[in-house]
Amino acid sequence: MSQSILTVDDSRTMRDMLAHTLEGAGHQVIQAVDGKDGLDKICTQPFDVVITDINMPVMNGIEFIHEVRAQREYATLPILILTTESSEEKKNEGRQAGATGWIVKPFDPDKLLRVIEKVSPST
Amino acid sequence: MDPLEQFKQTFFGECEELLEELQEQTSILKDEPQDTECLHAAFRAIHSIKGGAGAFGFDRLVSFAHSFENAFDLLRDGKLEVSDELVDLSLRATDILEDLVAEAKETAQFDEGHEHQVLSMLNHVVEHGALPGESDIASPAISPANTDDEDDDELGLDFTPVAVKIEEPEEDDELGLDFTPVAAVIDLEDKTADGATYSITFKPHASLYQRANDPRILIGELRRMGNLTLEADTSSIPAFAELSPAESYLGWTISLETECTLEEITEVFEFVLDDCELLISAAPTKSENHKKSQDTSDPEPVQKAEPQEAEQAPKEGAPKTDTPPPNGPKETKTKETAAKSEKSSKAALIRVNLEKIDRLVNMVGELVITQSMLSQEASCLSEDQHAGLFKGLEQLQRHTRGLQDSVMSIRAHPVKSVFGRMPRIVRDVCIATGKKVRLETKGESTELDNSVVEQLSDPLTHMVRNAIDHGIESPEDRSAAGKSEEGLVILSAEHQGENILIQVKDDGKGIDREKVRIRAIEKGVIDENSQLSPEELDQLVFAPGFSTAESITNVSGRGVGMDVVRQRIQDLGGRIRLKSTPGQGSEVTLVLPLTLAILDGMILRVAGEDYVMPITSIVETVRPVAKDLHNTPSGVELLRIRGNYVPLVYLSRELGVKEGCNDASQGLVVLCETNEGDPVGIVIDDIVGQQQVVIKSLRETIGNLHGISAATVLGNGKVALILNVTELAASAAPTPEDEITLESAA
Repeated sequence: MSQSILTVDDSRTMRDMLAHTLEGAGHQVIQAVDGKDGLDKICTQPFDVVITDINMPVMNGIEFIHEVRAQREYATLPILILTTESSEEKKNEGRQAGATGWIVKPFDPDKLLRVIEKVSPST
Repeated sequence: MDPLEQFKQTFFGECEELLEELQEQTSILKDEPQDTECLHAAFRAIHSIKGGAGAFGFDRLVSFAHSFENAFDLLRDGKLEVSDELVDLSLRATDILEDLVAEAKETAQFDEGHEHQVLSMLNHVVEHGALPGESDIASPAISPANTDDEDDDELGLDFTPVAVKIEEPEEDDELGLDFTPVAAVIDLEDKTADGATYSITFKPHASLYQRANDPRILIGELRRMGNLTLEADTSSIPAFAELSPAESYLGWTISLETECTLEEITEVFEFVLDDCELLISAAPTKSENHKKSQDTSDPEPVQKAEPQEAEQAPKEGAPKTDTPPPNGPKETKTKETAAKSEKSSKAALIRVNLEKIDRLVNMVGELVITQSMLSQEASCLSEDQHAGLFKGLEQLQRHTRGLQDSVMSIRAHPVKSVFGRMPRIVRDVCIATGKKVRLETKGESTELDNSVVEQLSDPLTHMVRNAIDHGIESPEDRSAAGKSEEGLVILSAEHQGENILIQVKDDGKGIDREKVRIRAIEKGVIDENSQLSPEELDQLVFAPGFSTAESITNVSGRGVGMDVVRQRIQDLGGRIRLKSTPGQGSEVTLVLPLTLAILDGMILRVAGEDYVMPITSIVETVRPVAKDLHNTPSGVELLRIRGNYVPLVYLSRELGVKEGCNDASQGLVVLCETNEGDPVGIVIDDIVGQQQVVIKSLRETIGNLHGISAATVLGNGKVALILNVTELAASAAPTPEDEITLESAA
């Protein structure tokens, strides 16, 4: 079943690749270019999952997750962080902020879809 | 295009922007080493390149970017201070990053040792918190020649430590404890073959809920793996009065009969391993051989995860408010400077393939032609009888113009992207020449057609290099001349009518005319006896193969001279003007058209054929009378106009047309501006009208034609040639003899 997913990443390449994979699997994707943009867009419609990068200009992913989690209505919204393999520290920062799970960059499309399914089952 | 290829193209496009950003931020860092936002932005740029490169398996790029990123990470965290040397290293690393991107793009190839030196310097910085060998920095940082091992050894020996914060923030330790590696959960001995029954005890901590993980989903996932029985463990629920709404009390004991492996089961809990107590065993019974995932006898993790502000807590868990991110102060700083970065970050944009826009531009061009064709067809109708038609045509014309402007504005690109590279050029040239120069830029937001901007980079680079290398004097000479030691180069862009003016101005010594003269004679550009005015001498620097540099410096002497610059600018439909005042400096001005696709043209007629002349070059048209026409001894015809003499060119002769006006007093003269600034009169038969035309290049099919820059299709469907005024005017250049006549006549 189609899910609506918000992707937050300042890299166009990454956004494109995420959108390609997710839309290819029938999901609906809204893209944001940084945390602030993400906050602006998150309230425009209900989302099933949010995927966010950490290193971004204007507002980084950690701040973004903090801000989202601070709002009651998003207490149960799954938020996944995109991290590079090496940055265990970042992953933990993300978790401290309230991230539900993580996707390791560069991501494997099948794995990405499995992770989505894992935090937000379609059935 | 296959999607991967498409992503790659996006990535390379993004890389260009990121490299530009990196370049810019590093340049700012040089002047403002304390600019944290700058460090962040630079780090992000490197990080994004690395991230993308990883996705496509560009390993060489990844590994270099990784070291580069690590070095910036230290700077970003304040563990290392920004120094001139580090900025130098970053600039070099940026160059290499650019090279490696080009290599990934397969537009260039570099041998394996290409990045070796810079890479080892970066790694040294990362490992030792300092640049290798402070005393040696001057040389290796500038000349990339010293790559031998000897140097490396020396570098290694000499390093001077710089202030490094070694102690880690306390949170980090906590984190380290809190998040035990996953591997600890699984006892590989327990790995069982198909069809085993697993016993799982699972008790979420409150933190699991705070991160929006949901036991129902996890258990649901297990349920899909096989036969599942579930039993709730309510034993931890305290007395009613002690119930905390933010705490998690519920646990489950699960028995799962499945063909899945232990890894697969553990993977279900991948994201929550640190937020729960989890025991998985492949045993038929629940007791003895259970393996503990964590030290469950220690209830501390639960305590730790307990939120302190319960009033904020939803039923299942509270948002965590007690744990600031470990880099709290840094985050605040980011916020302070957020406005700044917002300014520099691009507004909501969509990416459109340039090809698509070109197609759109083309279609608009065709529309312009169709529109003028319709107007022409309608012109023979009676306006009274077809009032509606004429009204419609008028609107069509207006809308076409509006559409064209909109489309052109899509292609418009601020010159900033080119100007942005110049601080770097200035810096490099200064290092190489030992001169001191300050660069000022003005009008960076001036917009130009994208294709013009792209092709502007090389000429502009050359002009700036020239200005410093040949224009600006050494600090000593400047002091001696009573100038400040630091030279000034001003780079500016501005709109002027349908043109864009781009100017490179320096306050150096100006063109050394005597040197130019000698050189020009040497090169056979002019005759030994030629008498040239100072301005004409200046123009000689545009002569092909001319170069005044005494030795070929690695700065200006790249094998191209100002002639190439001029050619480039002319190819872009522009003009170049040079003004120089001895002792005070030089000024090179590029006059460029706003667009390359469509031009406002004057339709001229010669011998029954129509030609198009860009309106931007036209100053005025006059119908001369015989008494104003004079001949110089060398046969150049001059037109006297308001006391000035203007040389004339007959278009018919220039184009080799037999018929056509041969007597200026019988025809019309179009006065045109030229590169040199002096107007030239072009003699034609008649003026037909004014029209927008779409430029269709001839260069690829026919090559370079004298006096012709391109072709177009007119409203009547006929093909017309577009005139190259600069080339035509060149034929009118009076000889020195004429000059004398001219002057005496005036």
